[in-house]
Amino acid sequence: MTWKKYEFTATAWKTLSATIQEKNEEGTYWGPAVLAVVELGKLCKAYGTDAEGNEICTSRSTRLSVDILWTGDVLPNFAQYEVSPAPGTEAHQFAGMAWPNE
Amino acid sequence: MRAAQFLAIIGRGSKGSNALENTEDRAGATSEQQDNVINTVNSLDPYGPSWQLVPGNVAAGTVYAQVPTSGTGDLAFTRASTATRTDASGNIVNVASGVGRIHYRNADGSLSSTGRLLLEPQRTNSIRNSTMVGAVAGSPGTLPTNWSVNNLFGLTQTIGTIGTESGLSYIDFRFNGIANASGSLEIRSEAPTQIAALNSQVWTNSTYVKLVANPSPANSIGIGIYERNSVGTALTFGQQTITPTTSIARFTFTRTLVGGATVAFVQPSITFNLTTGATYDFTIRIAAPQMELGATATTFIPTTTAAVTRVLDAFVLDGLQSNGILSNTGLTWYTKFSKRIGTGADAYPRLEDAASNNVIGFSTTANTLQSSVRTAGGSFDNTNILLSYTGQFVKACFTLSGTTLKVFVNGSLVLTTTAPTSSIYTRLRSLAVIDKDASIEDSFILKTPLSDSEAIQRTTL
Repeated sequence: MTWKKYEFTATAWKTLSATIQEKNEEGTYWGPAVLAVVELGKLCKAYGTDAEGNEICTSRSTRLSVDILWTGDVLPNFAQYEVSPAPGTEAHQFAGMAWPNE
Repeated sequence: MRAAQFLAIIGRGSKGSNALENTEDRAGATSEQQDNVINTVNSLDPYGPSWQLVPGNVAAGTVYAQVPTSGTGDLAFTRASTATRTDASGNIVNVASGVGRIHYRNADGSLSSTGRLLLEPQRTNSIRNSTMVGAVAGSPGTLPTNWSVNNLFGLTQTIGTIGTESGLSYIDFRFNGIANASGSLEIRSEAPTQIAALNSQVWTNSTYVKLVANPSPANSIGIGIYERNSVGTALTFGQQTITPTTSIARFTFTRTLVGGATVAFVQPSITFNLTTGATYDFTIRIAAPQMELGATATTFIPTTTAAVTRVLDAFVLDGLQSNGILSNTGLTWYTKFSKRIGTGADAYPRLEDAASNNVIGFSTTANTLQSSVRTAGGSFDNTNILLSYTGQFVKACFTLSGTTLKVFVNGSLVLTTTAPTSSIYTRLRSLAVIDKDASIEDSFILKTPLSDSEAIQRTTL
C-alpha cells in the first residue's frame, strides 16, 4: 500500500474521487484501488493567536486536503495534485504509519 | 436426536465455563482466548457445525475459526492501520495493522468477561495531541501541546501527575482558590481553528475522566463542543453534564452542528461551572480525548502531533459451498452479536452470493433490529425483528429449509419468510461501507435447519 497526500480544487476532487468510488446496494464506497480515503477539508496554512492567547488560523488553504491509502499502484491522474509536507508537519497520519511511508 | 446431540455439544461452550478448551493448535496464532470458551465440538461429528467461530485466536490477516480446523473456515481479516482494543484486564492496548481485535468492552463502557471480535468503521481522532505530549508538572505547569485552559476565574492551576492508567496517557489538573467570577472554567484539548467542520455534521467528543481529589468540587462538570466560524469566533456551544467518579471512565457527547453556513471549525471542551465567591479545590484526571466525525465514540485512537485515522475492520470468508460449510441441505446460521444502533450501514456480516444479489443478514434502524433479506438482486426486504433495540447483545439465528427462512431472536421465532435455498450462498462477509460498529461473540453454521424448538432453545438468553 502507498500513502499519498493531495490538495484538490473542489471540482477536481469531485471528478477524481468518482473514479475511485464504486456503488452498489450498500451505497457509494471507495473501490478496490484504495484502502482508505480521509477528507481533511481546507487546512490552516498560517497561525496566529487570539486575545486570550489561543492559537487561531489566520490563513486557510483554498484547496481540499485529502489523504489516500492506495492499495497498489497510484492512479496517474492524481499525481498533479500530490503534495509532500515535510515529515513532522503533516496534518494527518494513518495509525501506525510514519510519514512518508515510502 | 441429532439436534439434541448437537445442542448438548454446543451448550457446553455457551454456558460460561471458565475452562480454556483450545481444541486445536493453530500455528502462528496469537492466543487471546484466556477468558473465552471454545466449544468442544468434534468437527468430524456429522451433526456438529460445519463452521464455528468463537473469536479469540488471531494473527495478521486471519481470525481463526474453531471449525473446520483445516483453515478453510478462517476469516480473511483486513485493517490497513493499527488500532486499540480493551484487553481482559481492562487495559487499552495497541493492535498491529491487519490483526483482528478481541475486545473486552461493552457498548455501555463496562468491562466484558468475554472477548468479542470488534468491527469498527474508519474514524479519525482530530485532536492532534491526545497523549499529553509536551506537558510538564508544576503550577501552573506546562499544558500538553495545542491544549489550553480558559477562564481560570482566579483559581490556581497546578498540573500534577502525568502518567499512564489502564494503558491511557493522562494528565492531572488541580484547580483551587476562590472564584472571582461566575462561569465555566474550561480545558480545551485542541485549538479553536484546527478541526475543520461543516454545519449539520455530527461530531462526537469523548474523553476519559476521573476525580483524583474533590474536597471542594466544581458546581458541575460538562463535556461539550464549540462550533466556530473561520476566524475562530464561537457561533454556538453544546454540552452535557457528566458525573466522574474516582474510577476512570469514558464520557461522550455527540452534537449535530447547528451553527449555520459559517460553521468552519469545531472544538472539544471540558467545562467546570463556578460561582463567584465560592471556594474550590478539585483535581481531575483527563485521558485519551478524542474528537471524531460520527454519531458514536469509537475505540481510542492515540495521537501525538497530528490527526490520526484508524482504517475500518473488514473480513470475508469465501468458499462456503466449495469448502463444505454449506450445501443444498438447508442451513442454520447462529450468531451472538451486538450492533450499534442509529442510522447508517452496519458492520454486521451477512451470508451472500458473490454478486451480493442474494443476501441474508441483519441491519438496524434508529433503535430497531431488522432482518435483511435480498433475493435475485431485488430490493432488500428489511423487517423489524426486535423493537427498542439499544445495542445489547442478542442471540439470533436464521434457519433455512428449502426456501422457508425463519428468524429467531432471543428465544422467539420472530419472522417466517422466503429466501433462496442454501446452495446459493457462497460467502460470509462484513460490509465495505459501515458507519456503525458491531461485535461478534460467537457464531456457527449448520448444514441443516434446526427445528423451531431447537432454534428457540439455542437463542434463549
